[in-house]
Amino acid sequence: MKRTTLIATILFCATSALGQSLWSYDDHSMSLQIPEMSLVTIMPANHTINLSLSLPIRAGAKPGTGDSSVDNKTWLNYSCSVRQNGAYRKVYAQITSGNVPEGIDLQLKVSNLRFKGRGRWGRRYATRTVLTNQPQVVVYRIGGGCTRRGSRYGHQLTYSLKLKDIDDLIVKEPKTYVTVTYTISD
Amino acid sequence: MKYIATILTLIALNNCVQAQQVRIKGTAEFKFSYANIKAGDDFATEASNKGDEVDLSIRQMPKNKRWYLTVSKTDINWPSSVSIYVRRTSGGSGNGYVWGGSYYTCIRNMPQSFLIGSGSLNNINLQYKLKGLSLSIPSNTYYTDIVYTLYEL
Repeated sequence: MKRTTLIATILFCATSALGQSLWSYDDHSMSLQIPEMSLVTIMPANHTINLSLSLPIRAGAKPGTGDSSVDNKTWLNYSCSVRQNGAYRKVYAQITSGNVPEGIDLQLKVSNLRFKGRGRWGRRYATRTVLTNQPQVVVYRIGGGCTRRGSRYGHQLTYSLKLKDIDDLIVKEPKTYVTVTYTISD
Repeated sequence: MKYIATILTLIALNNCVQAQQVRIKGTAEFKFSYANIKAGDDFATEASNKGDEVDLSIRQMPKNKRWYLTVSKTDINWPSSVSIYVRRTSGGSGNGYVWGGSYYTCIRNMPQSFLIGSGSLNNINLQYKLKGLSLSIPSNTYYTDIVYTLYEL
């Protein structure tokens, strides 16, 4: 009897003592979802580039050597989110509507970034690319990161018209419209 | 037999008296999509959720009994570059009071003091903020558990 009472007292005291510092806890989960994303744009937005095959500066000289056949006022901006060890992204350029007159090349020069972006941005693929209606890589090795947004950020784009062969030059219309489309993909 | 029953009853009663609880309701989810970003931009480095998605309650606490609450996290695959902050956006309702926690507290893997109070309170709203978000974090769904621990003073 005495022994049982003693055990009971000890147990009660022990649990009461625990009660002075008794703790309780609860938890909840938190999640952060970052999907794979790729976005590309040209800045300034809705900018139309006008190029003309300039007149020869003297008799016997080639046309298309003046400033009017070059434009460098647009910039390629992009943002990418990729998986761990995921494939790098590339930017492709192609003419999606209209045709460049025969005898002329529409060339694209893509510069590397002048101002740093964030994360892992890409590099230009080639010094110059002759644009066609087939997609061609112009920037490659884009990882998770961005160029920053706006003119002067990202890759400067320089378009130029180059006369291939004056014998092939056939100009049917005084103005020709082409649309150049950029696509980011892996 | 009679004595054993008495002992068990006493222990049960004692445990009932001690059943103060902290309870959390809700979860915090941060989802990013194309709506959160424009081409060329990075994510905003900070993001907060609404202040009413997670509620905290302190239950079965005597009115004048003082307590304190710590917060910590247990990472599952949480990116180390993203810090989590928490604050309370309401004082809850009940017979008690709560102090502190109005400003953001960084949640680390080690517990740290978050709130001090007394008595029972329901529906103390919690708001979370993430810092350090960037596109350079590999795309994935990341998880961590936020743990609240109640101590009696």
